[in-house]
Amino acid sequence: MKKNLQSCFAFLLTLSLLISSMPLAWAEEAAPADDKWMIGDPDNPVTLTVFINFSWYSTESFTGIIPEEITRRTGIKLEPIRAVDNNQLGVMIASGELPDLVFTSKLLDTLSDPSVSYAYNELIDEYGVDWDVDNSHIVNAKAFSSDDNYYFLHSHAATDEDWANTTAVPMVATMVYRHDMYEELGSPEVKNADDLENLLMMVKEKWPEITPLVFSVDSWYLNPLKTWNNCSLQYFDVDENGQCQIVAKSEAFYNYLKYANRLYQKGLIKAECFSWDTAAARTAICSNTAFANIGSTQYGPGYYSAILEEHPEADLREMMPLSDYKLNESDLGWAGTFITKNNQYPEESIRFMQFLFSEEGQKLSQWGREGIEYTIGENGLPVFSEEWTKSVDENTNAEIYNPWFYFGGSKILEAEARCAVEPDTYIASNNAIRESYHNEPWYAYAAPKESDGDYKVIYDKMVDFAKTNGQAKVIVSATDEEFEKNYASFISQLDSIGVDELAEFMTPRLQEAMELFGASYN
Amino acid sequence: MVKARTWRRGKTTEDVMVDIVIVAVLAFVVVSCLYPFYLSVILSFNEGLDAQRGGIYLWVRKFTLSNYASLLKDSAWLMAFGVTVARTAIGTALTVAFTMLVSYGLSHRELMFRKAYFGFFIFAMYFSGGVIPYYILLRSLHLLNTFWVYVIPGCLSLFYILVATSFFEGIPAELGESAKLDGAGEGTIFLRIILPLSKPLMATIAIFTSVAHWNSWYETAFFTSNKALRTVAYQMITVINKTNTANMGNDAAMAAGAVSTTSLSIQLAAMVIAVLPILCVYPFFQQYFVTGLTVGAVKS
Amino acid sequence: MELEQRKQRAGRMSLGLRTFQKQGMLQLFVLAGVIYIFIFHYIPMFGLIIGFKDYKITTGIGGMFTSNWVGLKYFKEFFGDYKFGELMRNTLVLSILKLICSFPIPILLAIFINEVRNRPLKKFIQTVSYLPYFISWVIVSGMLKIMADSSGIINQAIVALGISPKPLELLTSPKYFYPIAILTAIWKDTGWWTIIFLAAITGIDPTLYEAAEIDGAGRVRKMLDITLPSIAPTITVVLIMALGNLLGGGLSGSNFEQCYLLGNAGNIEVSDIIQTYVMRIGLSNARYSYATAVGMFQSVISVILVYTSNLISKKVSGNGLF
Repeated sequence: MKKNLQSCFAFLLTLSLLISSMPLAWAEEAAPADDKWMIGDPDNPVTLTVFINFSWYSTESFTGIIPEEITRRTGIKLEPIRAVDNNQLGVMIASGELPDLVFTSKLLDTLSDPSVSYAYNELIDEYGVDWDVDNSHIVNAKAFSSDDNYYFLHSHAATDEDWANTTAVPMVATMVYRHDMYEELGSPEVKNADDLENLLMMVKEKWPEITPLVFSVDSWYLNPLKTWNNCSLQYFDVDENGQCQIVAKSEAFYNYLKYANRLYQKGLIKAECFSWDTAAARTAICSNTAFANIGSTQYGPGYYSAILEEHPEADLREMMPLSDYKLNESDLGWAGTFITKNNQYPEESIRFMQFLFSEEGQKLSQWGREGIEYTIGENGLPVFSEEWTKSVDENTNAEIYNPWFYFGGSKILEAEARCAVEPDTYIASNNAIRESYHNEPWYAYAAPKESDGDYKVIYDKMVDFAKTNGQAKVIVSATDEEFEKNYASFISQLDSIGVDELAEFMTPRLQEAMELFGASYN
Repeated sequence: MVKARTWRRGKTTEDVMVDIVIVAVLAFVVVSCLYPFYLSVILSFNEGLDAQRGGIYLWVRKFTLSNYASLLKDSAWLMAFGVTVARTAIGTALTVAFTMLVSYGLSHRELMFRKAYFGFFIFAMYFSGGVIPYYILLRSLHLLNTFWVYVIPGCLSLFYILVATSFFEGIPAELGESAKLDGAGEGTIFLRIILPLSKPLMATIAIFTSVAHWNSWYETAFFTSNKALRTVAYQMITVINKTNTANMGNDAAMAAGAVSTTSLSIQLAAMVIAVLPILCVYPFFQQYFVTGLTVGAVKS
Repeated sequence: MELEQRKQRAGRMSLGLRTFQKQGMLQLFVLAGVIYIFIFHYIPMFGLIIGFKDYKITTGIGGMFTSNWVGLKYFKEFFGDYKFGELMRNTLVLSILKLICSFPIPILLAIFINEVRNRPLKKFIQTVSYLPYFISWVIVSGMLKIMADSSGIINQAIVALGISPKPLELLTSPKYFYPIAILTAIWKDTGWWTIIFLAAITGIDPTLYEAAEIDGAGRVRKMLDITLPSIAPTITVVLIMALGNLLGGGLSGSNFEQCYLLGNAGNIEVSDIIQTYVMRIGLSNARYSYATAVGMFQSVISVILVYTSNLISKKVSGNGLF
């Protein structure tokens, strides 16, 4: 009897266990096959707070189709706080009140500190995460730490090799011009900087009320003019003996300033542009008051579509690279996500970062769900759904889809999405620009960091002065004599900042960095 | 219509000259102050992309409510209004009361340690340890992330103390003396005699403080993380930040989608939403210094 | 001898104590403020020490005490900066010009508005005059960029009126920066500061005007002889406060906003001031020690300005703050 009861009990228990486990088994079956990224429980997700250190960021809530899908696949939810002021992060660090994660492109060196953040490599080891981080990523991130760990990974990093495998175009400063006007001028051949100057002159003569070339100062500045004069876009250069040179003091830089000044003296550029932001330069194109604008490959024809309302004939195109055009960027990537010491879920966090850096995570966070938001077209570029395209046009994309949690984002995917919607007239220029593009990461790698103390200060001052503030005065010189005088004062100010001392300090560092990246200077 | 009272006794040449100058100056002031505000309002009702083309000076060219709609569909604004009204009302009341109290004490020239007190206040106004120690202080006072962080810190300002002290010094001392003879204590004198005389002063401090409270976003950004505590000014600054490419620097490169197509118009709509309520409150205070409830009038 | 002295001192002390007790209520009022200011202003002042230390934010709040002393390193860095002379010059020129040009205007406007007898009209003018105060500097600069651009309405007017044959580089040329900064500051803040002067004017005893009228004083005389002297204490307070914040841009402290938003690579030689430079070179890289040192330097100047101007004001007019 007793035994019976016992076995009966055991039977009931097994039965109940079976029954209760059945829905689980069904649920498992119903779950997507790609549950390898499941970290938490989608119904009761682990919530991580994240500080987004960009005050212009388009979103401040983890809602929308893409975030929901991220939670469904990983069981992780984010609770973002967007910065309003640049100084907030500093106060958070000092007071020890950091959230679980920090997404930032500033203070990368400060946050790469064991007292503030967990090292990625230590978390990977500790929790046995199966993440084979790409070595170039590790190298780039280590540039910011003073120990041998890395505390973040750059989002949006891409090597020359990556660019060789895509049909998209890197994001670089270029010139967008009115092809319809150019044809009206008889399509003169433009092979070098002088040809370009002549073209701008022809524009001025034919349409005196139109400014031939406009630009803005907030990001791309006059970079193409540097490139056309064979001047590096970096602050440092290395000569054939391996000595560090300050680019702003170089002959090429003088040539660039001279060229820009010539354009100014001839009335082909206006001093006014030194007060413009990107939007103002766009307005000039859209209101049909400018022939060409220095923007970047990031801004396709859609960016200027307002002009079509009154000038449907306007045909905006990217300028083909000049024949002696060499475009060298120094790009380690963009922003990093730090896992702070306040984080209660370091294991979940590192696994989540692994997901965001995985191809699946990158595609989901930047493009949405394959087959729904996008499909891959014949050219290898994504083709977005009608709803997606409509939401972009109506400015509701961030709200409905929210492709802003690309903390592990890919620069290549970003470029492919951009190029996918560009017209065929852009293909040739995109290809040519990509082919002349060359990433030289060692300059950014070797650039002074917080731990370099006074050299960092000299570097900051040099960047502050040489980037825009010092040049403008030289460029807007009214006469050649004034130009020489202003140039002399430009150089003497650089000297008083202490750039020669900085160059000396940088020489061994640059040599080391170049060696690390397998580049040679002779 | 100007100066109706003097019409009766006839106008001198000087009166007419003065009137002409005043009318001319004030007309200029009205136009130059009203027009830019008017322009802001019409631009906020204009389609953003169209506004960027320029040339809008007198009337809306492409009317739209979308600038406002895009802001107001965000329910955070409504909540922010509640917080801001509470903050402004409580904060202003506290500041006015506290300032009156402290300044009344300081306005007595025979007060012991008066010089030392002033030195103490002035030093505090111009030297600050910076935001980090301040943050730590607020944390240890358990003010962080509470509503009280808006109204308790900063509810006493040297500037208002000085304005109020000099106002009190202008009140004839005999008023207090005679009350004292009648057996009134300092508290009674302050409440029964001084405060009723100080309405224009209180109105001035109230309007200054309330506008400062209304426009402040700093505390929200630095000392709160609870989204339920956000204020209208904070909401406005986020809109301005979002569309202000000047702040982006090189990050603009990554923010393809952030480069919104409607910058100025949406900024202006946010500004109009944020500013209108406080503008409507102002005339309520205004009566005190336009109609003139004067010390002299009460005295006689 | 000694006993006598001690007695005297004790006597004085007990007299002092008695006075203090007699002023009990008043002292209590003031002490409430003193305690409050001590908590919210003096306690956090320990942060000033990082101006003399090599402070790193990653060491947290404790690091403020444990970091190494570096003496006057950051002061020296600032005074020895290649831009120090230029920054001081720009800061002082802008501040002084702004103070001189903009300070008298709200007083004048208050007097003018007070002369309007029609109440609704008076209310209307006053309300309108402070509207610009509510337009934030970001928006002011945005609108100014549209209006003062070479194709903007201001330049169209300049060309149409024949002031200049071609549009002026208003936004980028160094020679127009100060006039624009001063005019926009006046435009934005005048109406606001008239509030305080109008409040003072309403406090004037009307019998004074009546007496003056009997003496045959005209309107200008009344403004000069009665209105102005009656509001002199308020003017003194406001002026001394404006001087105290001279480096910040006077009353409304708009120097930073103006230079940050209206300054650009074209006019930077005149528009770069201490605050904007420290923002770019110090705070944006979280160099709090450096920023604190420069802030302290500005505080010292402010306190000196307040004390000297108060002293001068007392000597000249008999009015002072303290």
